[in-house]
Amino acid sequence: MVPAWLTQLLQALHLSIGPELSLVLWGIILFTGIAILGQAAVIFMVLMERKVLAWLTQRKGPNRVGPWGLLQTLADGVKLLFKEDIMTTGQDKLLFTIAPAIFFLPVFVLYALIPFTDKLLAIPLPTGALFVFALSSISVVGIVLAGWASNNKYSLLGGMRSAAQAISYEIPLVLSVLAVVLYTGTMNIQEILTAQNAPFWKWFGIWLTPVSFLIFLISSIAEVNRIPFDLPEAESELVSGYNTEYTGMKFALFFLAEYAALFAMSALTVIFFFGGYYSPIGGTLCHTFGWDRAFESAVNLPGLGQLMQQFEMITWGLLKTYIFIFIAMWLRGTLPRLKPDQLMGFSWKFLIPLSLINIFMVALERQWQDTNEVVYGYLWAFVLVFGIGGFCWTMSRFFTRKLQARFQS
Amino acid sequence: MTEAIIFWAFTAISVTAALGVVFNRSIIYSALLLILVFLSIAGIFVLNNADFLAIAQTIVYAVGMTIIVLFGIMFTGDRAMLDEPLTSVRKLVSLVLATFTFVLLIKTVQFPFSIQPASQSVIQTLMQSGSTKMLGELLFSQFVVPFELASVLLLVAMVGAIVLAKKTFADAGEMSSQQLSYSIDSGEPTKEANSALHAAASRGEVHLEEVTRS
Repeated sequence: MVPAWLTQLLQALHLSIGPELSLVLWGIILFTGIAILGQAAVIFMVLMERKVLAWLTQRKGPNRVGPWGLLQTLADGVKLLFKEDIMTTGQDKLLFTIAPAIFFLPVFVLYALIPFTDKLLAIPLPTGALFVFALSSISVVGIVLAGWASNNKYSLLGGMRSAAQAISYEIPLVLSVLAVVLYTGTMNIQEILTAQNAPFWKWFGIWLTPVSFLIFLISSIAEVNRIPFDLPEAESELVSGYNTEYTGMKFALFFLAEYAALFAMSALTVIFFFGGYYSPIGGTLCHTFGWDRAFESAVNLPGLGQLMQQFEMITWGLLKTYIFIFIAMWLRGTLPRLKPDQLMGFSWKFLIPLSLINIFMVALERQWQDTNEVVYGYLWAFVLVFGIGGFCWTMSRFFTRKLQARFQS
Repeated sequence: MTEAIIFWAFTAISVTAALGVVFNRSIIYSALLLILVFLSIAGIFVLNNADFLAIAQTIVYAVGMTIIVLFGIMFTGDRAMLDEPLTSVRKLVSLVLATFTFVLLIKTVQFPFSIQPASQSVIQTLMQSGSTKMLGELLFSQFVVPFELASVLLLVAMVGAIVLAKKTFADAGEMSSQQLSYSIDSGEPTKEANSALHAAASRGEVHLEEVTRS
C-alpha cells in the first residue's frame, strides 16, 4: 500500500491514483527503487575503486571517457556485453552457465532485506538479521560450481579456497551480530535500527560491542573475497581464480555480484553498528530542525516534508555505507595477501575464540543491565581478566612457537 | 488457495529433485539437486510459519553441509564412483538399510503424536514476530536437557574428527607412535616428539611450517 503522505502528495500534484493502482504502485516503487539503487551503487563503486586505488598508488586512474572518467564503467559494461562468450570443450556446459546466476541471485535478493529508509524496505522479515547471512552463504555455492565446471585447475583451486574461506568466516560473522541481537532482543533489521535512533555518542552498536564491530568488519571483508582475503582469485598464483575461464556477460555477472556483495556487507555494517539511515544526531536533520514543515507550508504541498525526510535518510545511509566501502578499498591498496594457512588459522584460532569470549561478556553485560545485580558485574570483570588474559596468553604462546620453528629451521 | 499452490509446487520440486539425487549419474549434479531439496523443504517450513527453522535449514543443510560434500567430491574426483562396480554384498547391505529406514519413516509418520492445532494467539505471534523467541524460550526451559545432549553429541563428533585428523600427522617422517605421543593436558607434542620432528626436519623429510600449522 502507498503510504498516506505519498497519496496526499500525488493528489496535491493532481496525480490522483485509484485504490487498485495504490495496491500495486508501492510494490513497483519499492522494487524498482531498490533495483536501481543497487545497480547505480555498483556502477559508481567500480569507478570509485579505480579512482581510490589510483590515488593511493599515485596514479591518475580512468580519465578519458567522460569528464573525470565518469563514463568509464558504462563503457566497460557495454564492452563486456559485446564480447564473445567462450566455452571450451571440457567444460560442463549447464553448470558453467548457471554458476554466475547462482552467485549473483542471492546477493540481489539481499538488497530487498536492507532498509534504505524506514519505508524503503522491500521485505520486512522478523528474522532478517539471520536471513541475510543465509543468503550470502548460498552465493558461495556459485563460486564452487564455477571453479569445478571450468575444467581448469586454477579455477578449481579458487573454488575450493572460496568454500573453505566462506565456511570459516561465516562463524565469526554471525557470532558478532549475535552480540547486537542480544542487546536489541530482536532479529528484525528495522527494529535493530529503531533501537539505534539516537545521537552518535549513543549508537550502542559501536559503543557497546566494539569488539563485535571489529570482528564483523574483518569477517565481512573475508566474506566478500577482497584483499587481504582474496585468495579465491589471487592473480599472482591462480591467474584469476574461479572466474579465469569466464568471458563476456558471465564474467560481468561475477564482477557485478562481487561489488554488490561488498555494498551489501558495508550497508549491514552500518545498520548493525552505526545507526543505519539515521542522521548523526538521531532522526533526520530536516525533521529535527523543522525544515520539512517550513518547506512544505512554503510551497503548499502536503506530504513533501515526508518525501524530504525519505531522501535525507537515503543520503545518510549511502554516505555511511560508502565510508565503509572506502575503508575496504583503502585496505586493498594497503595490505598484502595472506597465505591460505594464515587465513584459516586467523579465523579458527583468533576470531572464533575472541567472538565466543565477546558473546559471553555481552550476555553478562546485558544481564547486569536488566537485573541491576552487581554479581554479574563481578562475573564480567572475572571473564574480562581471565578470558582476555587467557586468550592473549594462548595467542602469544602460539605465535612464539611459530617464530621459534621458523628460526630453528 | 495460494498457499495450497505454493505448497504443492514446493512438494513437487523437492520430490523431483530427490529422485534426481538418487538417479543422476553425475555425483556433482546429485549434490546440487540435494541443495534444491533442502531449499524447497525450507520453503515448506516457511509456509508453516517456522521461519527460524527454514533459515537454519538453509545455512546448515543447504549450504554448510553440501559445501563439505562438494569439497569431498571435487578432491576425490567425479569418476571414481562410476567406475567402481556394485558388489552383491554392497547391494544387500544397502537394500537392508534402505528397507529399515523406509519402514522407520512410515512408522514415524503413522505414530499418533498428540499434536493439537496451535491456538489463534500463537499463530498471531508467529505471523508478526516469527518463531525465534518462542523457540529460544522453549529450548532453554522445557527442552534444555535434549538440547544440551544434542550439543554433547556434536562435541563427541568433533573430538572424533580431530582424533582422526591427528592420525595422519604420525605418518610424517620416520617417527614411531611412541615418539609422537601427546601430553593430553596441553594437546601439544611431547619433548621427544618435538626433537624427533626437528630431526626429521633437518633431514628434509618434514617441513616444519606444515607441522606447526597442524
